[in-house]
This record gives sequence, structure tokens and C-alpha cells, in this order.
Amino acid sequence: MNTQTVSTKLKIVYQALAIVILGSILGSVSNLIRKDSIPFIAHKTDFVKEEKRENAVTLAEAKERFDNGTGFFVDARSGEEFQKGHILNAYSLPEEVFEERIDEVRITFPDSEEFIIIVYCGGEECIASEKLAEQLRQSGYANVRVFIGGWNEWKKAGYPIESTPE
Amino acid sequence: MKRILEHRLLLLVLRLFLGLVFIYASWDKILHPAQFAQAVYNYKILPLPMVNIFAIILPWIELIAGAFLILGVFTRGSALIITSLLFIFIIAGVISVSRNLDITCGCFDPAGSRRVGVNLIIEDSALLLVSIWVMITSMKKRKVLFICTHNSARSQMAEGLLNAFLSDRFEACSAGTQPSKINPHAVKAMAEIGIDISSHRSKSLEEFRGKKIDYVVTVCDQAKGACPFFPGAGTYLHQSFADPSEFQGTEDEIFGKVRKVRDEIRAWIEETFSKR
Repeated sequence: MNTQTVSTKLKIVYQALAIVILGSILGSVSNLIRKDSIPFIAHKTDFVKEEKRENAVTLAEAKERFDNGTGFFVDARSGEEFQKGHILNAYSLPEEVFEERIDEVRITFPDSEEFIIIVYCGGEECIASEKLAEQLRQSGYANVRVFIGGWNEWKKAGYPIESTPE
Repeated sequence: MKRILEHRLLLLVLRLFLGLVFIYASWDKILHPAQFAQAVYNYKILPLPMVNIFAIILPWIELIAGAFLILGVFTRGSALIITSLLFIFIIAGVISVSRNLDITCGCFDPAGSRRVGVNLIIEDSALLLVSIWVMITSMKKRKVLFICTHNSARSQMAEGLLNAFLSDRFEACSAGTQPSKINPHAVKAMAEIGIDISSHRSKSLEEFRGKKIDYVVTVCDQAKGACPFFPGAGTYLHQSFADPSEFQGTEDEIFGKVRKVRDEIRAWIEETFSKR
């Protein structure tokens, strides 16, 4: 009787261990084969740090530039998320299509101190906008800034958007 | 008896609920590993080299545990995992709130705007209570009482078989209306498949009156006489098997028939209880 109870408890621990092992394998394998994988060991540069935001655009500035037309909004989120809803007149430029659209971007948005490019993604914690801003800088744009609050903050403020009703 | 049924139903409902919550929670994190890693990083709890590994693996563990909980595979192990995870989430939430960190929780939608706060800790605690209840309830063994007339062969073999095969979920016992002596053929037939019931004794149904029994199973031959009734059980099951005390012929012939009954009982028990 006693040995049975012990083996029952052990069995539960084995089951839990099996789930952890299975999860580790599936997680690692999927991360090895997927396109948007992340490195197994993180580097500090992978993450957005709060200090690195002096170049950022606040909600107020974003709205001001939106109203007087001195900012081009570029959406760094996936095409699917863009479809669901985005800042009015924003241009969709997810990472996957950057190479194929960069020429079009160059024609549409000239680099100018007056008309800056404002990159945004989902919100404060996403990093797509930071990455895209870096890519744009490398492609020759000097006047690129990130709207940190992004889609969430814009939408919450009730500012003009375009969206597809679900 | 209604109470136990409702208990099982409640367990099923809560299991499905918890499973769905965890599958839903895992989905966006699996789709957006970089965003989830950022959310994990924001907590500033894990050392930097572990952030990505945690972000890669955790959502898959959530997905598997959730799916298993719904499918009823490894139910108790899954409940243990989910309970532990919720415990970890609550601790992480408390640490963040006490450090005054204003960060997104990364709970369901890693890029979402939901922030860590007291509300979140309360929600997670409610889920933790549900998950602890599911874990304990699904760990509890259900009591099964096999009844026949003499508690000498059929119910004894049934008890031995259920205890041997499904002892992690069931606790079997047996009794009879007219207890006599344990049938030596039954002992021999069970020894043949490696189950020792020689120490069993023939017990009266009276010994079990008033005890909490989840399943009462009558294994008597209904055609040959009235089956005993035991009130107060959660679920009643009945399956007729021939009565070994009435087998005729030489010792070998009788033993052959007992062996056949043993195999019938075994097949029926495996079919009936392995799914419950």
C-alpha cells in the first residue's frame, strides 16, 4: 500500500518532467527551423533599453506631426496586424519585405529634416520599430525616429486610424 | 451520489477551462518569440543568458500542459506543471509590483499593453486556486467496490485486477452478501498472471456500509439470482460473469473455466476503467 502511494507520486513527477522535456525539445527544434528564430543565448543588444529612448517620439509629438504632415508613419508590424488596424495613412514595412520595398520607400519618402520618418510597432515593449529604424538608418535615412507608444498608445488616445472590422 | 457526479463534472469543466486558458496564453508567445523575450527581459528577474531560452521553451510547456489537460493525457502531471507555472507568475508579478516596475505582463499577447499590477496578481491567484483544486481532485483515487454473492472468486479477481492495473487512479475492494471463503482456483488463476490475492479474505457487504464509495460494481450472474444492492455510491455498474462456485467437472476443467472468467473480467475492467 505504502509503496503504491510513493510510486503514484513519483509518476506525477515523471509526467511533469516528461512535459518539460517535450516542451524543451519542441521549443528548441521550432526555434532552430523557424525563420524568425531568436538566439538561444540573449545579448543585451537584443532588447530595447529604457535609456535608449532619447531619439524617441512621444504621443504628443507624433500627433502634432500627423496633424501638420511633417511625419511619415511607417508600421513595422506584420502585414496581418497592419491589415487589422493602423495609424491613418501609415505605410506597412514589416521586416520580411524590407529588401523588396526599400526602393519604393526611397521614392515615396525622401530623407528630409523637416519631414521625418516615424517608425512604430505594437507598443512600448515591441522591438520591431527599433530594428526597422536601424535598418532605415543603414539604408541612408538620417531622420528616422521611433514612436515608442506605437499602435496601442495611438489607438487608446482615439486618434485617426484605418481598420478592417473583424 | 449526485454530489460525486457533479464533482466529476466540475473537475472536467475546470480542466477544460484551465487547458484552454493555457493554450490561448501560449499561442501569441510561440508566434512572436522576440517580443516575448523582450517581455521576459523587462521583468529583470532572469539573468540575461537565460532570458531567450526561457522565452523559447516556456510557451511550448504551456501549450503541451494545456493540451494534455484537455485531452486527459498526463492529467495530473499537467496540473502540477500549470500549478507551478502560476506560482512562478505570481511571484514574478509580486516582485515587479514591489519594485515599482511599469511593464507589460506578456501574459497572453506579448506585444499587448496589459501591464503587471495587483489585478493581474489577483487573477493569477484565482487561476492558481482552480489549478490546485484540479490537481488534488484528479490525484484522489476513486474507490471501487466489487460485489458478488460470496466474495470468493469473481469480485476477488476483479479487485486484484483493478488494483494491479490502475492503482494510480483507483482503489478497489470487494465484498459479498454471503461471504464464504476465497476460491483456491481464483487464487491460482491470478497467480498465473502475477497477481497475488492469496492474502485476501472474503468480506461481508456490511463492512462497507456507510463508507464513501465512488463506484459500486456488481459482478454477479443476474440470470442466476438477485444481485445485491449497495446504497450510497456515486455510480453503479453491472456486468454478469459466470459463478465459479457452480462450475462442474474435473479440477482441470473447473480451473480452465475460472481462467476464462478471469480473462473476461480483465478485459471488461480494462475497457471500462481505463477511460474513467
